[in-house]
Parts: sequence; structure tokens; C-alpha cells
Amino acid sequence: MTATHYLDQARTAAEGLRESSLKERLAELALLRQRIDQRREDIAEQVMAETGKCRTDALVSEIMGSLDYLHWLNKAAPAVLADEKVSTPIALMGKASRIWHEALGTVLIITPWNYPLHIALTAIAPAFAAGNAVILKPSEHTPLKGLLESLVADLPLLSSALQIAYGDGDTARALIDARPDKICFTGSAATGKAILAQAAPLLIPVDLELGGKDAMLVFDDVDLHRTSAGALWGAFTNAGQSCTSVEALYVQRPLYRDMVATLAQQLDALIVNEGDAGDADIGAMTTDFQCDIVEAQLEDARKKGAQIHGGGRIAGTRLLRPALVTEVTPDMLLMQQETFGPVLPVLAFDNEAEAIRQVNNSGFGLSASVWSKDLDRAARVARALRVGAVSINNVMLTEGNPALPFGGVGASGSGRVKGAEGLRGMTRSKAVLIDKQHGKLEANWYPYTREKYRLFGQLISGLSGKGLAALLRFARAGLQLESHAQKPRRNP
Amino acid sequence: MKLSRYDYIIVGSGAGGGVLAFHLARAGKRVLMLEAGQRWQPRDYPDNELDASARLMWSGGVEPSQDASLMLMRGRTLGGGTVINQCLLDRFDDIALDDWAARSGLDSFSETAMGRHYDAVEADLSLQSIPESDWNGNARIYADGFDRLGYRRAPLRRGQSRCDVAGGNDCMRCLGGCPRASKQSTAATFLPRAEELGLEIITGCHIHGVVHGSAGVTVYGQVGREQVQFFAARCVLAAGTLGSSRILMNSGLGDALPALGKGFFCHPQFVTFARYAEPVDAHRGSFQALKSDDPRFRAAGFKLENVFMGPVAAAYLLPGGARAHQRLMRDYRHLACIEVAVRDVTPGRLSLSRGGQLRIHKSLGAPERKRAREGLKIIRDIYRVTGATEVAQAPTGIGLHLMGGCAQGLHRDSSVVNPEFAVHGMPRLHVVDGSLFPSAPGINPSLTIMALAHRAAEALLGGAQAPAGISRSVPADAAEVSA
Repeated sequence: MTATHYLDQARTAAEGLRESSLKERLAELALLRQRIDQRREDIAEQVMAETGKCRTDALVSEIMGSLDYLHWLNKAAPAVLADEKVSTPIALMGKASRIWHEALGTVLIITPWNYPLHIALTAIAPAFAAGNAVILKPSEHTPLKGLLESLVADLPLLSSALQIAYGDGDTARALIDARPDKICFTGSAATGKAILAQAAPLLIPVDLELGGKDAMLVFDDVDLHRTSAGALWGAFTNAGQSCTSVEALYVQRPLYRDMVATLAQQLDALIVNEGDAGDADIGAMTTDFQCDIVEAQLEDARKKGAQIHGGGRIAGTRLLRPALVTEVTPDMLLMQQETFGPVLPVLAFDNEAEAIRQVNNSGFGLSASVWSKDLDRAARVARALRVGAVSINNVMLTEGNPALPFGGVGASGSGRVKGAEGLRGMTRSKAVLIDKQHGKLEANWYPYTREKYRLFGQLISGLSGKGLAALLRFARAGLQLESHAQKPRRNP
Repeated sequence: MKLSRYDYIIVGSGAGGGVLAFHLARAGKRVLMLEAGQRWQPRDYPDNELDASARLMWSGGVEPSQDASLMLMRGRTLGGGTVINQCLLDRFDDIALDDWAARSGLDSFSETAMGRHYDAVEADLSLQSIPESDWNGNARIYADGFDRLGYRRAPLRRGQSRCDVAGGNDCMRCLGGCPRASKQSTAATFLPRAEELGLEIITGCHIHGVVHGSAGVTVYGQVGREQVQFFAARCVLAAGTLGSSRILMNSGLGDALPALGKGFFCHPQFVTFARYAEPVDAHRGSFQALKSDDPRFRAAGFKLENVFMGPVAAAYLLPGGARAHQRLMRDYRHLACIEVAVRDVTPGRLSLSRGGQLRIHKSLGAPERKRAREGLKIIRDIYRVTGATEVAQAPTGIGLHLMGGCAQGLHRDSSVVNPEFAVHGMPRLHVVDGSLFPSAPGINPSLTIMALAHRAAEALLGGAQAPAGISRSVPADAAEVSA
């Protein structure tokens, strides 16, 4: 099937969806949720087989995260997508104003290989809920072939609204050229730029969820054990292949040495394996090329003087032992590029301002976390960080709440998914003003006369003035304008 | 940085692990052996029972069952139990194997089907029957008593190569590490040969658990205070009944394996001393030279062993307080000793405490007490007819030959390990040690553990000579030769 076919079909499906109600669409999403829940072990198996994830990552991030989102969507969508009444100014007295949140039509969703189910579902579901037809182009590394099709098979609206186009970058390019109404891309900054460039002359709006070099800032008043455990989870969950993985841990200097020791000890206890039964901590990397990137960054750091605790690839597998990196300097690749693997560089900082500066200088700006007993300080630092999300005294947790928007700043992309903002992102607002049928002409219509001009002047003064006198002036000018407007230009 | 991925990791180096390691290494496999104990040069083994217990055994030598009715002993040294046992290497008879076949559903448990495996391991060992010329006074009393009372006895077959009793060797260290490398422990036999073939061994490595995956098994534990983790296409637990069961339970596999830790057996042993007017010198030469070979004993579920021990162990086992004890100790050279070893039929159970400590639920049941009483009566008869002046019964029972807990069999509800030696549902995780035993055989288990290890090697290597009568529950995996 060619890209044009996909789009033609999507446009037809989008037309069809106009006949459906939000309630009907949400009912199908609720059934989808049930189905995912019932089949969660099968789904976990397929996700594990294609990604190398350990079972707990597959269950919690991919399945539980998706179910959570669908649950939220079902509850939140009626309010978020409802027609809105907005106030109408006094000058437009007697009229009503509305905002309708309408479907865009066709949405092309291009997903990466790190969370093939979660990222796909949290884009497909809001797009569909809002009334769009969706074309999903999953990563060729983790296509999950047949999974979504089987999950929606007997849901009439969803199965006609969702098409999945398997393929690589060429497939994506062809689909973009066929002019979907919106593109939602999650993936690398390089591919994001290419997509934006291709979409620009076609005037297709693009949401970009790109990578990060996410920082964790730890002040010296924290609980060492919990904070270290949080850092390791944040850095190594999904084998570090999360856009919001902790990729730089900044620790206030008085705590630095103890924290590194605690991290090393906790890291040594993390168990690496794939195809486990829920008992491995860190699964395999999904692709060989990502293993190579991680290993090359570690080798580069080692050469430039870094101390590496752990690390290494188990021969003949894509299993990487997690690595803690100290003696880190800015010239190291792992401080300049996204690593996307189980590597945690730990740096020391002396004061708040310096730490904020270091984080804001990374170029990326996806998420961050701030850890301190002093919540005022934590909030102050959180506001100063140029990122799209901050967890305070926790890590990667904004993603845990489907009501919160997700998206980055700068090289980490633009646009938001999830939350009300993400759902609205699958719509365009239509402004509506409603007047009644009657015989009166509007004051601002023709003819323009010197008298009308003078009265408008008085009206504006009344509008911008203060007090009862101003109001009276406004009312009098209004009434005079109204009556003046009904008169035709005098023809002597 | 490349981290090793072994073809096999073997946890434990005793009768099961040692033999298996040799055969896997000989087949060209890359094998890592992890042993909790230390490696000893023969001349450096402790020269007394107290130090030997403390340094070559788990928990310093004795681990009590929950009700403290039995003191259990197990090796913790390179070579495992084969370093601290007497190395009595007898084949099982059909009385033992028929019971296994019935419990496990495997007709490969028979003298005939096991014969090939016994042949194979015996060919790699030096086995000697103790000649009458090597008898000490204790053996002579034992023989005399048996003959007078009309019971059948037989010379003992032992794994040894150069004890040189005739030349006057009197080292008394059979139950600790053998300083002459005569005793056929795996440390003296299979392990050095396997190391020549490339086996890697890490000692002092205490394993906490395993994680079975689709590409292999992660084995984790610690060496000293350092946490370690190793990876192999397959892992074989050969850590003994208590060790292998503990590792599986600690890995959280209890729910998946309902039979895990159940069917724990041992051979409870009760030692009786007798004092003779003339010196017996039971410590001389071969500690053990004879065994009971009477079908009536076998049918009654016990055997009598012609044993002795060094003064430290004797002091532990001799009854009485202060003066009485001192008097018996002073007469150490005048003491004879026979023990009754009971074929256990009351299954015990192994569990973990909340803190991960192994709990051994094992009581002496009525059948074991009855069997012990029958044996003790005969021992007293022997002492009586041979002119003992005094008989002294050891106050504690000792549990040797720890078996079961990971029984081999066809069904998950009644066994843990399948006929291919893989844990049910986990094709890359294996158990090869005494924990496979479906019941207590009433015969010293070492040789049979070795024979099972030989059979396991065939199963793991996917050899054409698959053991007869085995239903292949996971044929594809068993035939797979790991990369």
C-alpha cells in the first residue's frame, strides 16, 4: 500500500468519525483498556522479545503506563474536548461566544523503539478520542507487528480509524509527503529536524518529542539511600533508553563522596538479564547500534580520564552492565550527547547558581529532578531550570501522572503530549460567535459617518474610563450609536 | 569492555559439580565454577576435626534442624562434601532405585539404566576395597561381632589411591581434607583434570540467587564483601541439598515450584562407643574397613558402620559430664565405635526465614527412631559378644548425606527438576546434586550423585546416548548446544 492510499483511507475514516460521538469513541477506548489488561502477560512477552526489556519494565512502563493514561483520558476527555462557552464583551451585548475543539483530520504518529507500546498508545488514544484518523509508523526495530491490530480488531470505530504503516525512514517520508494534517514524532533530534524540514514547505504542524540529557540535582540535605536508589532507577530503567533518563547527576560537594560510594554499592546489586520472570533489574539494549554508542562514549570518557565503576557488555548479548562514571569533564562525549544507555555520570557542584547554569547549558531541556529537604529551595531551582518537566524529590515521575503534559524545551523538542494540553494538541480550536436573527444593523457596519466616529470615540473613553460616570458615558454612547446605525447615510 | 558469557556456570564443586564440570570441559565448553569454600593444597588442610569443621564446613561444622534433633554437616570447600566424607563409593541397589522410579515416574532409575553412568565415573576414580591386612582393632571387633551373631558383612569399597596403611600411615584425617591426596575427592580427581581442560574456578564465592532469562542465566552473589554477578547460557546448581534449595528459594522461585524444599532427607546416624580392656587403637590405619551387608538390615532400613574419629570429634560425641567423660577420653585407645545409619523415610522440609536464612524442618519420625533402636540393639549385641566392658551411647544424632529438596521427576507438583536435569519451566537452569534424590536410599550417596552428574552431562550436551526411559519434556532445548 502506498502512502497516498494510507492517507486516502485515513481521510475517509476521519469523515466517518465525524458521525461518531465522543462517548462512542471513549467507550471503544475503554474496551481497548480492558483488552490490554486481560492480555498483559502476552503483550509483555511480545514487548520483551522485541525490545529486550526486562519484564518489570515491560509491565510497568509499557502496560501499566498505557492503562493509566487510558483511564485518565476516559475521565478527562469529555471536559477537555467539550464545547467551551467564553464570555462576550459588553460591546457585543446580546451575542454568545463558543470554542469548539475539533478534530484535525489525519494524524501521522511516528514512534521510537524504546517504549513502542506506551508512546504509540498515548498518541493514538487522544488523537482518536478527539476524532482523528491515525496512521502509526512504528520503529522498524520494534514494530510489534499485529499487536495493535489485534487489540482493536472488533472495535468498529477504532479499527477503521487506525492504520499501521510498517517500515523505516522512507515509509515515514512518503507518509509526510502525502500530507497528513499533523505529525507527532518521538525520537532523536536529528530525525526530528529532518521531519520538521520536510513538513515546513507543506505547512504541516509537527510536535517533536526529542531526546534529553536530563539532570538530577541533589543537595546535601537528602536521604542518601533513597536518593541514590532513585538516581540508579532514573538512570537505568529501561536500560537507560528513556528520553528522560537521568544522564547527569549533580551532587552538592559535601555529599558527593558518600553518594558515589552508596551508588557504587547499590549499582553492584543490580541484576542484568533479559527474558526474565520479573526478577531482573536491567534488561537488554534494543539495538546493537545503541550498544555501540554507549560503549564508544564510555571508552571516550575512559580515555579522557574518567573513572568507570561497572560497565561492560556481556559477550554475545545486548546486555550492558550499568556504569557509574566519575571524574567527568565537559569534553567527554557522554556530557555532550545523549547516551541512551545504562550510564550515570556523577558530578559535584558547589552552589545552587552554578548547578542551574550547568544544567541549563546542556542544550537539551526535557526534564530534570531536584532533591532537597528544603522545598522552597527545590521549587526555586525547579523554576530556574529550562526544561519541560521537573520532579521534586523524585525522578521521572511527571510521566507517571497522565494529567501532566510531557514535552521539552530547545533541542528536546516542542509541543506537548499527555494531559489536557496533549489532548487539545490533537484538535484545532474553532472560534464561534453566535448572534440572533433580527433587523438591526451593527454600529460598526457601514455607513461610516463623522457622527458615528465621534460616538465611537465616546464609547472607547467610556470603556477605558473608570467609575460610574465612565459607565454612563459608555452606555449613552452605545445607545446613541445603536440608534445612529439604523439610519442610512443622509442623502441631501 | 567485554564481559564473559560462559557456556555453563556450575555452583558448587562436590560430587555433582565436580564430575559435571569435568565432562562439560572435556566437551570443549567454557565453564565457570563458583564455590563458596576455599581452595586448599592437600598438605594445608586442617589437621584436627575442630579446625576442619570450622574451615571446611558450613556454619562451622554443625547446623541444627529446627527442633535440634539432628546436627547436619555439609562441606564448604573446593570439592564440597567429597572432601569431608569417607569417600565410600557404593552403587545403589534396586531397593533404592525402584523407590525412586516409583516416586519420580522415571524408569531410568534402575540398576541397569544407571550401570553405564556408574561405570563411567568409576573408571575415572581409584577405588579400593580395604583388605583385611589394613584392619585395625575396631574392624576386628566389628567383624568378630558380625560373625558370632551371624550377620553378613563385606569389605568396604573406598575412593582412595595411596593411603599406605600397610606402610604405617596413621594420619586419622579421612573425615577432613586428605593430606595425601589419596581420598578421591573431586578436589583430587575431577577438578584438576577439568582445570587442565580450561575450567575456571572462583572460590570464596557465595551465591545468593539466579535470574533465568531468555538468553541465559545471571548468577549473583558475593566474593568477600564485593557483590558479583556472572552470566552464562546455562547455570547448574550443584550446591548440595541445602545450597541448591536455598538458592532457588532465595531467587523467589518457591511459588513457581511447589515441590521446592520438600522431600528433604538425610541418613540419621547414631554412634555408640564401647570400651575394651585391651587397647583397640581404632584410630590406626583405615578408619573404616567393613560394612554391614545383611539383607535383614537393608530390609529393616538401617546399616551398621564401622567408624571412628579423632579425639576432638570423640570428645563431642562421648556422653557424660566431667569425670565420666574424662575417663572415657582417657581410654580413647580402648574405644571401639559402631554407628547405625538409618534410611530416613519421614520427609523434612526446607524453607527460608524472612531474612533469607535457611530453615531446616526435620524431625526424627517414629520409623527412624524404631530403625535406630533396632540397629542400636544389634550394636550392643556385638559389643556384648566381643567382651566390651562398657557401652556409651552418643547423645546427639548426626544427619549426614543431605538429600532431596529439588527432587527429579516428571511433574511440577511433586518434583522440581525434569528428566533433562532442568528446573521445571526453566530450560537453562539445572540442578545436579543430591537434592535431586526423590527419597533417602539408605546407601552413601556420593557415587550416585557422580553417576547422575555423568547422566546430566549427557543430557546437557545433547549426546546421542540419552538416558533410557526418559520422556523428553523439553526436547528442543535439551538438544541445543549453547554458543
